[in-house]
Amino acid sequence: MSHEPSTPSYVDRVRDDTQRYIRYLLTENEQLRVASAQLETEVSGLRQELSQRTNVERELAETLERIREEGQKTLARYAEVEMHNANLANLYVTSYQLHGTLQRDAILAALQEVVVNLIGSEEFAICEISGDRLIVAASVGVDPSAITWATPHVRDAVETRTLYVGTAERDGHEPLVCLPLQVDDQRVGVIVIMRLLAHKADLEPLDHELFDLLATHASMALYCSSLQQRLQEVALA
Amino acid sequence: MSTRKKILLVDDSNTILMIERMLLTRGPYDLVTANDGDEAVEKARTERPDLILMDVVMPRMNGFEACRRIREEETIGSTPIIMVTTRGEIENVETGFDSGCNDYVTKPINGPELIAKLQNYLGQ
Repeated sequence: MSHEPSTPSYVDRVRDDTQRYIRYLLTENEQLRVASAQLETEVSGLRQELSQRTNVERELAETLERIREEGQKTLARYAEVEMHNANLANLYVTSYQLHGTLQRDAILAALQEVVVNLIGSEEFAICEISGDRLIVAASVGVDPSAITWATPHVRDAVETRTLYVGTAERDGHEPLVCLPLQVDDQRVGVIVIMRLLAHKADLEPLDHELFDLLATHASMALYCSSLQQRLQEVALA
Repeated sequence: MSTRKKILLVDDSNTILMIERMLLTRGPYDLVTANDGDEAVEKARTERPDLILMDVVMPRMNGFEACRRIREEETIGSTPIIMVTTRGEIENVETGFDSGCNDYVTKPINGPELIAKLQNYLGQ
C-alpha cells in the first residue's frame, strides 16, 4: 500500500484560511490600537494647546480692553487739558489787555472786548463810581440812562462788595450779573451784564474765573488810569 | 509727515486775535492776521492761506461781504472759511452759509472745538 500525500480537505482549507484571516485581523487590530493610542495622545496634546491658546487669547483680549479704557481716559484727560489751556489763554489775554495800557479809553475798549468775546454778552454797561455818583463809562446793547443806582442789585453788590449772579427765572429788567470793581476799600465801579448772547445758555466756570480776574485787574486798571489822568492834569496845570 | 498750514485770522478785536494765536500757536500753523474785511481779501490774495477764520462784525467790510468777495476770485475762491461770530441765531448762520462760508464757530470761542474744525478742514 503506497502513501500518497493527502489533499487537504475543504474543511481544512477553510480552517487554514480562517486562521490566516484571524491572524491578519488580530495584526490589524493591534496596529489600529497603537494608532488610536497615538491619536489620543495627540488629541490630548492639542486640547491642552488649545486651552493654553484660549487662555492667552482671553488675556490678550483683557489687555486690549484695558488699553482701550486707558486710551479713552487719556483722550478725555487730553481734552480736559486742552480746555484748561484755552481757559488759561482767555485769562492771560484778559490780564494782558487790561494792564497793557494806562489810557482809559483803551482800558474800557479792552473791557468791552472781554465781556463781548470772552464772557459772551452784548447787553452790558461798565460803570464808574465818582463820589456817590454812578456813571456809565461804556455800554453795549443797553441804554446808558437805564443803569442807575436804582437798577436792581447794583447798589447791593457794590455796598456788600459781592458778585451778584441772577437766575434764569429773574425778571427781564433785572441784571444777570453785577460785578463790583474795587481797589482795597475804594469802590471803583461795577460791571452790569443784563443778558448773555442768545446761543449761550448759562454762565460757565470760566466766566466766574473771569469775574474774579476782572474784579481785581479791571479795578486796578481803571484806578491806575484815573491816577494817570489826574497826574497829567496836575502836570498841565 | 504733516506739513504746516497757513491760517488767516480776521478780526477787528485784538483780544480775539490774541486768543486765537495762543490757541493755535502750538499747532503746525503759520498765522497771519487782518483787522477788517478789506484787509482780509487783500491778505487772502497775497498770502494764499490754507484756511481763513473770519469774524463777522467788522468795520469797513463785514465778514459776510469779505467771504463773498473771496469766493468770487478764482485763485482763492476755494479756500475754506470758518466764520467766528457772536451771532449764533439760525438766520445769521444761514446768512453766513449763503455768503459762502464752510462752517462757523460762536464766541466765546471753544478752543478744542475750534481746533477740531481746523483739523477737519485742513486734513490733519
